[in-house]
Amino acid sequence: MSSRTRKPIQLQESLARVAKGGIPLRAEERLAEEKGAHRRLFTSDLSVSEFLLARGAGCEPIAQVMGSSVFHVGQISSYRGETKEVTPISDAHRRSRHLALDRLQQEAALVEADAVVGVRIRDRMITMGSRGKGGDAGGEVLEFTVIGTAVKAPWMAHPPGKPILTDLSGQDVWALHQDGFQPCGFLFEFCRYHVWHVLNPIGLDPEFASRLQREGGATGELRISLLWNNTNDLDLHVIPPSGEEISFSHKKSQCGGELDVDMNVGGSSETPIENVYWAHGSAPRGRYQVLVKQFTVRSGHTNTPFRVEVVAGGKVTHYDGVVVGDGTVQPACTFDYGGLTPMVIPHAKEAIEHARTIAADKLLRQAHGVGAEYVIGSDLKVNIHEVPCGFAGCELNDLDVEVSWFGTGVRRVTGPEGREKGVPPFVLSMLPVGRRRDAQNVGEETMDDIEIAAEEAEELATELDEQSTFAQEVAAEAAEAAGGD
Amino acid sequence: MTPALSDLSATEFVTLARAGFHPCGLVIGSAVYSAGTPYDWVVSTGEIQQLSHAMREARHLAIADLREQAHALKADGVVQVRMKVSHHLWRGGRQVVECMVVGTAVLFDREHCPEAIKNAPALRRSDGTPFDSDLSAADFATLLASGYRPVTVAMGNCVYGLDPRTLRAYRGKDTEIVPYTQAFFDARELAMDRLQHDLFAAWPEGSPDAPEGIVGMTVSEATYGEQGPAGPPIVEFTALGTAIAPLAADDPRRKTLMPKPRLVVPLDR
Repeated sequence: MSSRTRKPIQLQESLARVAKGGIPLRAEERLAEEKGAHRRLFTSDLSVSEFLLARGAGCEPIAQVMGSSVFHVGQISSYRGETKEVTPISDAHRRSRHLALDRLQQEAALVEADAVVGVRIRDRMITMGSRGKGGDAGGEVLEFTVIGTAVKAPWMAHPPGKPILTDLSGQDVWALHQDGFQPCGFLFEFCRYHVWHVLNPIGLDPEFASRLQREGGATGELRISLLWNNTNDLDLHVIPPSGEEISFSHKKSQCGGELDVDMNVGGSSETPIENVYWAHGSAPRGRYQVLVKQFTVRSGHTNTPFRVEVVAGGKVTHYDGVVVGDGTVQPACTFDYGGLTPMVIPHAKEAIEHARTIAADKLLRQAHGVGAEYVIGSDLKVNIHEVPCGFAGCELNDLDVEVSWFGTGVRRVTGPEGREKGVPPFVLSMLPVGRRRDAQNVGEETMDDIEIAAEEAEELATELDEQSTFAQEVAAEAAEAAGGD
Repeated sequence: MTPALSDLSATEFVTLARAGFHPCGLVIGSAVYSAGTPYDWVVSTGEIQQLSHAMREARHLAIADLREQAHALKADGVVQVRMKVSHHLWRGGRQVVECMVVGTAVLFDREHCPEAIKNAPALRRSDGTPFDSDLSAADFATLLASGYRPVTVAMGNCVYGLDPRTLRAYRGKDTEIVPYTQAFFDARELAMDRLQHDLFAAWPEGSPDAPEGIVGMTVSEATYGEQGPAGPPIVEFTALGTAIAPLAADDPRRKTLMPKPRLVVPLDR
């Protein structure tokens, strides 16, 4: 076989096939040689034990098969105010996985396999976009590759031309087969979920939020806002623990507080708001006093109802009151601030739950599609990471949740090959003598040890070789000398 | 029939099936907890109550979440409960704990279970709630074969700080740092103590599911949050195990003999 030289492939034709979701020409050529009874050898990535057991379970290896897809993630328009699945990213992962697995199946179908066992997955991001948010800025390139061994296994039921894919190893397939089960499909799901302003406390008054947004009022570790509903000029006064009063006449305090919205000096608004805030990590601990002063009466009403919203370390409190008369100062509230309150972050938990449910639902639908009774071998990964909201320089935290899920559907074997006769007994087994369980888990070190041992053995062998060559030479010389004598 | 998700490997799946159980769903509990800000943590040698509490809350909330799902699935129990904790430092100096617990909810399957245990009880707790355990499928099956059943996951924790100033006195010395030894020792004891305390509180002696013991208890330690530029880390000690109780006297599982262990050569490498 090695003596034959391959013809160069038609690149354009090959490209056209891949564009249609097919496999490249070169793969087709290789597989054509490896299929059928006349083939010279089988190829597989099965280990020796895997090979033995897979054969024991009635799986004859045919050829190593592969599927791959390199996928470009498009641009995400905007996140602003959105808490939901980021479908362009989720779909990019889903589609690249689907394409790769589909090609794996095509390769397997080409060699007339019944199944592909031991499917190994490689999932990686080739380039990162400008914001490094894993697809958010667009322009990321994902690569998804699957490699496995196509086998002939007549006992596994499958739709014609659609061999069964599974990430189960040869041993796993054997173990299932022993007890009357068969794999029936490789399942995968991915969900990317975005939470806008994840730390937004529960119980915020939306009226405050909309007026603050309109006026560009900032928020931070601590925020005290005042709203009222007429054209009178009310003023928010805040006395922080230092005693340095913050108001329209002294907008910034030494301790980091700032009055950034002051309204109705000229009486222009029916929906005014005033706002004092401390940025993250700057709010002093201690007692705060909030006062409301009616500076000018303009609307004809001398009594002005007001509402104060205090958001301190994630906790929201509202205080309602009325200022009566021109030039009056009305105490609104007094509160103690002791730093960030330890608390559950409900939006984050909710998002994880949503993302997981989306993935689980779709995974179940896939499982149903392949006729699975159970899904085993789940490789479930849930990652969260905080990202800046970034909109108009906003300092608040957003959250990205990522759920990645692989599994294999299994079902009971039906028909004559079904094995539901009796359940084989347990064997309680021990690991081989002389090796502790811990030692076995340290795979890398063991591999290193083996490699070192192998190198040493090789050196020794070379040395012995040299010695024996030397010995032969000496012997030959001696013989020559003896012969010459 | 809707397929059932699980977290089992093929061999675990088969092992469970031989014990008469099949998966009926993957249950996942999660909790995200803001533990305040590291600037507030005065690190002197000793327990940091606020953090112990935060971790405890996060773990318990996640487990409660998992139990609720198992209950909703009408499961008989949950096996292979795995707990994963990760720490994040968010902007604004907010230390965030993410706790996730994953387990496989299982049902006793009389239709497919071995003939001998067809009439065995499904092993729910006496109040009808599903049991939960962090035992692997293999350990679970072995436990049943030896006459015990799992009752609940038991947990205790303690977050401990070490005063970095202590180290100054030891500069240039070659000796045991006694306060640190005492601290680590103490923290482990506290974690184990809390596990027992909480367990006794929930299942007092004489109650129907009163555990006889705890198996597979591990005491693990993990660095809490982001480690500072210098000085010793804040460490969380967690004791985790499964409380077990004997099988009922008339449980037919008692008649199935526990096989004698055999020495074998593994084929999985």
